Amino acid sequence: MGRFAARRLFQAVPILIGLSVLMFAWVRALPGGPEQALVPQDASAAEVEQVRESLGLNRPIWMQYLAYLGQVIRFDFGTSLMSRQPVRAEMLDRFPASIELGVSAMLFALLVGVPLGYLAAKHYGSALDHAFVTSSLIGITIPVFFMAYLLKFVFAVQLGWLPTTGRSSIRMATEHPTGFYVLDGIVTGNLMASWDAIQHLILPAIALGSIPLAVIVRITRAAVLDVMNEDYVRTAEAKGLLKRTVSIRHIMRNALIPLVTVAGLQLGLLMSGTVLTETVFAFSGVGSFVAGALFARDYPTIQGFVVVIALMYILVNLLVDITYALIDPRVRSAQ
Amino acid sequence: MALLEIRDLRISFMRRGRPPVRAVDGLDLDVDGGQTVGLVGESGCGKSITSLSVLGLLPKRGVEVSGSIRYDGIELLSLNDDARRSIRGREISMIFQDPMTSLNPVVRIGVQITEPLRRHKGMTKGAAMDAAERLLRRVGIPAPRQRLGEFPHQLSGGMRQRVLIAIALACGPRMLIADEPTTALDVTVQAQILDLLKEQVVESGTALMMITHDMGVVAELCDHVTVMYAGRAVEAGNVRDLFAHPTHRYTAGLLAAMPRLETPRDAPLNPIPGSADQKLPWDDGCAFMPRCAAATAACGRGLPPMQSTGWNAVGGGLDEEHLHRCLNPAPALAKKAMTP
Amino acid sequence: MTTVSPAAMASAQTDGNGSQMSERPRTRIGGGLWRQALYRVLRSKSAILGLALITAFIAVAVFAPWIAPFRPGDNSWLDQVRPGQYPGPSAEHWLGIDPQGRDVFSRLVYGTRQSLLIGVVSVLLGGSVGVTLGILAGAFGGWVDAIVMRIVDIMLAVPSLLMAIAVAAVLGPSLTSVMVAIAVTSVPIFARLLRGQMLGQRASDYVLAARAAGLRRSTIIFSHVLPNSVTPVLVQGTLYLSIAIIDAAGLAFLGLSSPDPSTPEWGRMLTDAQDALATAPLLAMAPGAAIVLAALGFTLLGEQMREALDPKYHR
Repeated sequence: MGRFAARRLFQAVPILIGLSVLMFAWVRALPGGPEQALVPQDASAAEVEQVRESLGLNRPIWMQYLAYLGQVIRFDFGTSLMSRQPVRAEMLDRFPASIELGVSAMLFALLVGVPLGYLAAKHYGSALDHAFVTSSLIGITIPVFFMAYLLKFVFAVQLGWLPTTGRSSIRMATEHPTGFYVLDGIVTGNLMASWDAIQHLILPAIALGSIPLAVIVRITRAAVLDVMNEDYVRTAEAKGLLKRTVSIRHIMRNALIPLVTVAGLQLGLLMSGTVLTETVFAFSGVGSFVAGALFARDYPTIQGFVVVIALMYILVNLLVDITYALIDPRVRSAQ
Repeated sequence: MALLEIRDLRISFMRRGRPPVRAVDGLDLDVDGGQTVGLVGESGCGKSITSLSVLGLLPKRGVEVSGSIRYDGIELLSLNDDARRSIRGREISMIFQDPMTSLNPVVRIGVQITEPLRRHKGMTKGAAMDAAERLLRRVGIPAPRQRLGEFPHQLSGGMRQRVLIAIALACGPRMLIADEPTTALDVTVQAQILDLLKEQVVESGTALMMITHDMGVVAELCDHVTVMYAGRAVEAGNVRDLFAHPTHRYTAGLLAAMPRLETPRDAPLNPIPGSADQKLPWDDGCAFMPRCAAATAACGRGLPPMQSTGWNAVGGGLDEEHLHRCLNPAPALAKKAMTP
Repeated sequence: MTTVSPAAMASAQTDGNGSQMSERPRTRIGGGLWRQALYRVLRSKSAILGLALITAFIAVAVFAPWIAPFRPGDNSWLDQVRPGQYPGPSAEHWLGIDPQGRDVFSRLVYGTRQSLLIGVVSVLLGGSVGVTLGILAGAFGGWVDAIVMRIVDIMLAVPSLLMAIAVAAVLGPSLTSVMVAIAVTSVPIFARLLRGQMLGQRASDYVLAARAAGLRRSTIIFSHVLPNSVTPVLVQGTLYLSIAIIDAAGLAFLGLSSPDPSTPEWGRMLTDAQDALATAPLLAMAPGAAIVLAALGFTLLGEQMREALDPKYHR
């Protein structure tokens, strides 16, 4: 298992190098070139010169690239033009928020989607099945930000059940040692703060989770339908096992294999979705920050965040691969 | 009274907007302990579906089963799902055709073998594992303790079929159904598996229902045989009788199509003309008629009943009747009696 | 018999009974399969629904000037608009008036043009680049394949919306950059699809036979492998049209579409209307529904096409 993970990690190296080349080229393709893009518009000549110096723009291009690579490895992405804070500091603030949101959304999608998909497959061809298939189709075609607005409008604005924006209530004075608000509440013993953070998470998580939810319902249904007709399920039935055992050990365990793959692919969509969801709910995570940075033409921020997001994406895919190998012994021994 | 008695079994598959498909039509079959009964026919003739109906493994929706299947005096068809589950794997076990796909690829061998033991015998995990090890040893798997921790893909096809047999034998069932258990295997392995099954019948007095299309397997293993064509029994009897005097033209064709060592190599094989696609509609008489050389107009008018061939008990002196469903039976074979 | 599904058993029996027309073996992958697939697609209710939706939207886009009662940029009704108070549906304005004093229905009708245009152009662009990369990788293999697939992996490592944002940042906000951005995100999908197709078919019996017969590699690729890869590309293209329409709305929401606010575009209409959700929900629901229905049309048709062409689904 360890060797499998190491190999996968090793395979990610060329992707990371390629990505750094891409980002390096991207900054140089920006309107006005890097020295214009990476400094505030009202910057003095001295400031521009300082950036030129730190980027090494006077040196040959390959040396510039190596210098850039050095910066990336040290997680030094310069200073945000919006906040005048180091980009790295902004990341420590923003990433926990988005990870919290993304994990909640995925949990929601899996916890709701897998049982629904299983139910649809078990009642294949019934009215229930048709209803699930149809609603998941519509779920896929609703733009995520529209979904977010509808949820916010109905449950926060009209019904007032849940907060409309933000990650926590202003009156909730609390410390944030980890940056994960739900966790912070537990760590500091302030469970009210955790509950407050959860309330703020519910609507964004459901909105963000709506796309993977629809996809997971469909994939679970298809996978269960496939597996149900497998010979080994008939063998399990022939043993006279309890329905529960057949369903969990023999059907679901195999249906999980395609499900894990698809859930992994959904993570990319999820990361795209956070940009939109966070904007709608003014949830101060990575997505809304990057969107804001785009408007402000805050290229150091965009550059740094895109690199880190891609890194995380690769890491998450690695985790998916490992999960995959944990479920399917054939993958393990094929390596 | 036999251990398993099938009477007038009828199975139809419902289809939306079209008439149902009748897969099995009026089948009678007896299997007793220590006895091996062959159910022979080509794919699609209803033999596998018959075996699934004995276990209660046919889908619940869209399938109609009527007639009677009595096991040890209990009418299986009137039992509910839970009751049938507690019979499956404990009283009646099944060995399936394809060992490559019949084991769960993501579950360890040990778990798959111990499942029925823990479910039906209430064994603890440790006791079940010990029993599984003994089972694997009995079906001839070397280093059984180690195998328990492995996954199916680490085993060869023959080994997997042995595992499946071990699973089927786990709870000491009184009846075993084997659906073409050797078709997917190499010839050398085939013989080993057949020996294993034979041993089980002789030593433990298990009843074995052997589903096959291979007359060679029948000759090797079976005491009694029922030949099916298009969902109906066309001939049934003691295996020696049936091999000596096949009376239904289909049975005769099956036997004549078997390559034999004693016939010269350049002699043509005798395939049955036509294909299984050519059948008469159900109520119009003998389904084999379009392929039958001896068919007369009468064959297309109504179905003949199963009746005695008059070639009773030639081979073994047993008292079972040799039955067939044919208006123009084949005469006693001219050449040397084809005894197994 | 390896399955216990009633459908499978019934069909096996049907073939056995010979009461149905006996199916001939497919000797040709061309016309026969296509005709069968078309037949299957047309038999499915959801495909018909998808096709109907698509046809309706195309008709609306083509005949927009005749269908829409007003020009999309016409803001003659600005005097009827008060902050937070927008005139609802009336005989003259079927879907009401937006905060800028324009007829919502007319903008919705003209918006169809934008959405379809963005969808078709970006899919054609991304599809042709992706397909070319896929052909290069699949046809030449070796280091060409390695390089192309690494590029694809890198592109896939960036979430698509971020990739689109990055592209739009370089090109500046405009309709063109939206199209390019969406096209770029679709490139790796088409490239992978075609490469997989080609590798799969290169190993298939008919290509082996063609090679054994001494046909040249280019001949095999262009006259055998490519024609058989057309259908999956068509399916993926149809499905991607719906993604393109949804993504275009998302980019408009982030302010990345045309800088001219009078451009009638569903995503922008939806974005502009969100603050009025409480007072005039129709302003947001109308473009929202248009996006969902258009995306649904392409998704339904694409999925039915895929099922019709995939032998795996014929049970």
